[in-house]
Amino acid sequence: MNLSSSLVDEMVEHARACFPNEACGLLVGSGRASVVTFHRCANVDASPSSFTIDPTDHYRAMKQADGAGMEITGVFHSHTHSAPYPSPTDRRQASDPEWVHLILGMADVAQPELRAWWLEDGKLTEEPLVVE
Amino acid sequence: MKATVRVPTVLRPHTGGAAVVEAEGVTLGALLTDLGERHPGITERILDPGGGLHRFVNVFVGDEDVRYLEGLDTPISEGTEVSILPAVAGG
Repeated sequence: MNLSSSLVDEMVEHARACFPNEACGLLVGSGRASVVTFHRCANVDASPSSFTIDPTDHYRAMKQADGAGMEITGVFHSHTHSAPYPSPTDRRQASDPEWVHLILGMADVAQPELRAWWLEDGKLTEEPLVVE
Repeated sequence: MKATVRVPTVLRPHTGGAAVVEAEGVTLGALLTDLGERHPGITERILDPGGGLHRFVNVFVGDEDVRYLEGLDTPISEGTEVSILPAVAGG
């Protein structure tokens, strides 16, 4: 998948603002692995080891996507002290198999690492990520 | 009261793939019962075995989360939009 550098910058900025807690957000686009806009969401867990997207933020993102003729295509979250690899919790709680999962590893805060994954029926597949 | 119901991807196997369906009821609970009669199996994915809203599902009536309204007793007006959203979480 292709991702604009400005969107990546938004995600990194959001993750740094939420640190030491995990940051989360929703991705909006048109079709599989398309990301046109990034919606920062509140993590109601306010935790360094888990996230739950604020339901009202989710609803608003869905309505804005609808209004733009798009849809939610994925979810973003940060790992504050580990690699950007789906945790057992990520794999267990993945809610939509058609969503791409962007994970930002903040183990090195100065050089965060972003990777993309599909979590379908317990199967884990990495999506090649090209930042333009 | 007739309402439109927005169905998330994970529940669309119960609606023949439809993202938006219709259901009727004077309260959210009655509407979900009707939804389950029209689309067998879907209500069990929204309600827990005790009959309450499943903790991994969020339901909005209009623009409001029903957990801040009257839950399953939330009144449904004619033409209201009901949105079912999966909880999005991880670690």
